[in-house]
Amino acid sequence: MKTSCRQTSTLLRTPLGDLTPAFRAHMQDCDVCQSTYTELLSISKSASDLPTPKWSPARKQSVRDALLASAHATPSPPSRPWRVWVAAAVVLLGLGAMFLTTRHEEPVATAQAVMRGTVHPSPGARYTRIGSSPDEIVRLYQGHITVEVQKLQRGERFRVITGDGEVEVRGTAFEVTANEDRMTAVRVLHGRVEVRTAAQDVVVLGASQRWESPNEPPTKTPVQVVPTVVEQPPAVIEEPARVHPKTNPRPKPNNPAPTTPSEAELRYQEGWAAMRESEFSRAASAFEAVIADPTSALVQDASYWRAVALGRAGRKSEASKALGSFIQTFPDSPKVAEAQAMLGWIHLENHDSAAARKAFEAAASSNVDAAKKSATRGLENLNATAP
Amino acid sequence: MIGKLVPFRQTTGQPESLSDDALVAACGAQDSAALGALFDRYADDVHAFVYRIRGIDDGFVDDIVQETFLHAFESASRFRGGSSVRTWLLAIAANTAKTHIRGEIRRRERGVAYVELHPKDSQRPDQAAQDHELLQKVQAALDALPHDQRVAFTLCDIEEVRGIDAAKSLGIRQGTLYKRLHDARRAIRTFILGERP
Repeated sequence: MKTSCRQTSTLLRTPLGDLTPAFRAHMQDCDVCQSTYTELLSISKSASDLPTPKWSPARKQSVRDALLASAHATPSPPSRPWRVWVAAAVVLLGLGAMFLTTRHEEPVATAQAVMRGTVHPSPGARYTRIGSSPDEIVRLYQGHITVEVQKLQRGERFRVITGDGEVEVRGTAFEVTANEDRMTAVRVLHGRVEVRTAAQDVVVLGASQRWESPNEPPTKTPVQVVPTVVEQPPAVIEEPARVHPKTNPRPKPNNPAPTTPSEAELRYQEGWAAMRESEFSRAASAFEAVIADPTSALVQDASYWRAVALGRAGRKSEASKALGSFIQTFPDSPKVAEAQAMLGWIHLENHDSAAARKAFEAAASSNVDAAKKSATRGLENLNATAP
Repeated sequence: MIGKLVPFRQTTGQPESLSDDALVAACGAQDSAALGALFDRYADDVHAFVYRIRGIDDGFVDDIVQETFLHAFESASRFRGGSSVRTWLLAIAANTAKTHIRGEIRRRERGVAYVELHPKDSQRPDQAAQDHELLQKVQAALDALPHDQRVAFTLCDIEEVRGIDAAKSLGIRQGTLYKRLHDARRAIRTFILGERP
């Protein structure tokens, strides 16, 4: 039996797929080469079996957004037919998430988070994604982003939030500009947009309309390139996307805005992650931590979701107090009707018919369909059981 | 009569339905939608490949994946179809990763215990233990390889790319690739089998 073969070196340097028929014939008669070949196969197989870390859809989507933004910034031939000015932001009036508050209709935190929107940041834009469906939030600190949003399902919301306002969208695309954490402009291509700022009443924009902050000098709309095909976000996201550092070359403003999520925003993410895992008490604690920072733009949302989490955790008494506090503190919130309906069901469960009726009637008089339906059913229930 | 110039588009249809070559051609015309579709098609493969040639997901992997597709976008007009689009992308990823080579030193400093290796449930305990040990050795051996050898091994022995395609995509001579593959295999065998080089 041979102990060496001069052709083994040939085998060692040749990709296995490149081995010639002649060499394969040689291996039939050469134990040394056959043995070496088997070893190489075994090593190759082991190397192939080595695990690779799972690439989360959120990180992948972040890279994709960043890539397309970078590609947009790449100079291209002047004859490009689709290279157009875009200054458009299309936002439809959000109907507000309809997470009803009853045992049957209360908000359901999905097991897996879903992202409905795709963000196309302009160079220099700084943003982060905080929530995911059903209450997806893009927190914009600085610069200009175009967002395309898939048609939202009932009860889903999509918003862009800055330090002083928010824009709510429904199933379309829109463009928002911020300067040092202040919303400066929103532009609509088609559909409708609802812009809410702390300093102003709600402004509803129609197709081709533009809103500019009165505190900001008129700015020229930055050049944007719109992809010829709307990029679809992944169906399932596992974690909030991070802002990709490569894509967001940072401008150097005199007073730079934060580039990473604040503590409150991180806790808000934690709250939602816990909701998705059905760990409602933990979620309530996380949302409570958000509320502890009164300067956070998420206080209102966190207050509502804390109440929802408490209700889902079975802590009805605390949920009742939290809902009451939310309704009192944020009477203009689009969530108020849902909170009232939820409160009504909790009162009903506690056999407090008078309080339940009051809450249901308030919800039924709102223009939020799902809240109205829930409240109507609650009132029917009350009437059926009335002595 | 005054003529009108109509922009010429090489491709038609939705990017998602285009062949690989057509997608790259569209990228060559700076069609960002095609870039998105190309990313959707191969991002996972490129990500796994970049991880394999780096051995650690230290935050640079995402950057390298992004740069890979951006380089592909910028150089798509020069793609001649000499290899498959997938191989072309992996080669771009390999060259892009090389610029992050400083991570090589960092990876070695951090050791090789990064990946948790699990035996298959269906295996006998003794066989599982053996396989587990082999996997750990292979991982350690790969981590010790210089970048170019690791790329050659990953492309040829894991991704099963033909030598001529791998060499062409990497922009090196076939003999150079064979040399790197030889050195990589020898180093791995030495590490695993205790064979003298």
